[in-house]
Amino acid sequence: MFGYAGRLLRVNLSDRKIEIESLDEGTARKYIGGSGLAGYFLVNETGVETDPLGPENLLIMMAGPLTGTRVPTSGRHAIVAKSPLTGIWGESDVGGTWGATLKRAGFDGIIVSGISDTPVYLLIDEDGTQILDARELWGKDTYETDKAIKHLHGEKAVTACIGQAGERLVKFAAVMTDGKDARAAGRCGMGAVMGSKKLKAIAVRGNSRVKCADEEALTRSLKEVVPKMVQNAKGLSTYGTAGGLPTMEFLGDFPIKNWSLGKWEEQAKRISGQAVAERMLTGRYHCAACPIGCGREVRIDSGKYAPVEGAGPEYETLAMLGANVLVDDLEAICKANEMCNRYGLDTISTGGVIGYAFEAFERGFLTIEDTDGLRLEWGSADVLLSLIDKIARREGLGDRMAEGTRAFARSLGPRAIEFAVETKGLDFPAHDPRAYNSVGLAYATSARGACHLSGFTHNFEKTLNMPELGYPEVQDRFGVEGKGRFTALLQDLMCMMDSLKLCKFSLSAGIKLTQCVEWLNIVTGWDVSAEEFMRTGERLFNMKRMYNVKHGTSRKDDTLPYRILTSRRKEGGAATNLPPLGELLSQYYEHRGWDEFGVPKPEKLKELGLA
Amino acid sequence: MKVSVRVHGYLEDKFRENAFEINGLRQGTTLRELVAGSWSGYGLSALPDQCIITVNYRIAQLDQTLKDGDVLDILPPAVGG
Ligand code: SF4
Repeated sequence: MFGYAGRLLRVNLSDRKIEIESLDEGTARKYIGGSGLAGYFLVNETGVETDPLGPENLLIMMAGPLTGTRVPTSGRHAIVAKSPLTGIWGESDVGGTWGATLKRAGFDGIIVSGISDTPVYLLIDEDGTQILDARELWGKDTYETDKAIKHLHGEKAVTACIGQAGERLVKFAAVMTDGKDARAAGRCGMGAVMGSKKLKAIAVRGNSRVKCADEEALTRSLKEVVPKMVQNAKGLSTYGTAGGLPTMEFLGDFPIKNWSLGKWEEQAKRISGQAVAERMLTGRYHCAACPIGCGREVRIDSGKYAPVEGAGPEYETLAMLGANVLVDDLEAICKANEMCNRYGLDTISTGGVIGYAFEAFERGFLTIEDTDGLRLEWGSADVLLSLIDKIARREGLGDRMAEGTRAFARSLGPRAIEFAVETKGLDFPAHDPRAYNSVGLAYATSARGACHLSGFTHNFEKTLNMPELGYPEVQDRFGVEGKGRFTALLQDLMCMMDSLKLCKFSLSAGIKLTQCVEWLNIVTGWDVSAEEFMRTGERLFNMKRMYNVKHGTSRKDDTLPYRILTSRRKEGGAATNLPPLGELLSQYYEHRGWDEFGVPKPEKLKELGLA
Repeated sequence: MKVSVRVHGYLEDKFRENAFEINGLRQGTTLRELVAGSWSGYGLSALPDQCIITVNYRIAQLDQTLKDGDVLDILPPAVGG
């Protein structure tokens, strides 16, 4: 099989059994790879009775058919498990070089089950797989763990590991890759699943070539496409994802003070990608096979928050650990980012739960006795850093916050739920549905909870088009008509990107659906049509939905927080809009072939080969 | 006809000023015409392809006709997160 290693590694940590199983072409074509193929195993092998932190849950790391090839932005993999944060479908997508190295070691994916009785790590290369003692590594942060593993197994060993947050089962702990050039599988608590298995790290080394069916065609395509991508993504290369931060603020697409305000213009400038570039940028880094290189390398040598060295903050981090808690001190946010990276914490959920705690304190739901003497005042960088520390170590108030915003809010009483900003238990990422109606619909219906990447729709209501799906122009962000179809189609496309694996930022660099299909065919030698491609995406989206339906998810869960549904911010670029969710959902269910409660109809499942 | 223009984020480097007015536009001028270079003195022709332009806070289409007094905001491409 071209594009695939054709092998999956199964490791059961309870009995230390290692098995290799082959991947057949029929399954590969039906579920592709990444989160799609990983989902196939999760759906078949876990269920309602599976405890997310128990031995039966699977931790699945899966590359795609394009991973490890020369296809631009394909250096990604997915981590899939039942989420300990939400209790439903969990997936996290991550870049770096780990996925490509796994493919070069001869595997498409790893499926880990069981629980080890002592801390261990895996070493995987072309010579085999070993389960090794990690007692010396337990307690180390992710940068230290990466360094220690490289010291033991050579610089070419690429790690995916957890920090102290994953070890302590913080429900939004991340799995981090590539050491100081950090990339995070942040969402849904995949780090806690890894920690529950007492699995500190997975190190991979590999040199084999991933076979592409038509190398010459790929070379021709890259010659034509890559220069254009580089040109289109110049802003992203130069300023990183945070280069667009002032734009988000201007459009009202920015979380300010726990999603309560609409403007923060001057402060946004102080924490933008431009400010990062001017003040602390030392370099940039690329995921495997990426010509864009949006990763930021920063260094702070002096001042209160020094030293900071390594990965700089992304847009999401600057927004959630900055604007959402009213901290506009860029050095402090860089420190907070580094702490989250080292501890292995999702910066989005960390910023979400801290913003929530600040508001709970302001409103009297938390008192100084609850906070171990900390005054949770908006804009306090020192409190921000203390809380990150407490969450990662599960100390005092941090132990309660480590359960995630939903559980924390519920512990403060029914009225405190009013200002918790999450859907299905997953904190909002830093895009506001009041600025884009489709984002409201995408957050409400995404399988993992509030997720801007499962639809990526906001970019098609701002700057991108997709003629192949019937959208030759940028769509009206406050429009309602047709948004059900629009959101569903983009979700199906994103399911495919998450499975191939292709970075969604490639869309911003000018890549269209047709190009994705062409690359899949060039690499695999298949003859997939655009129609089959989109139908496969639809299958994957419905597969994830059915997993959640079995866990009790329905229309009642496809919702948005009260604040987002009811509170107009009265200023900024989306001062008055509220997403009309009821109407959007009805359109959406009808387009999807789901019933009024949001359950896929039997005929739809049959049509997609899921019945 | 006159419109005001504000420039945001790192695009400020591409312009001489971050807020200015464009006077003497003929009735019926479209955004595309404005950007196409007839006003290159203002740096508008130097816009990167994917930047975002809003007219009175609404994201604009290039075929949109401008009106006297419109406020244009030019924003860097934003894909992040
Ligand atoms: S654009 Fe950024 S996140 Fe995407 S593959 Fe390239 S370096 Fe990685």
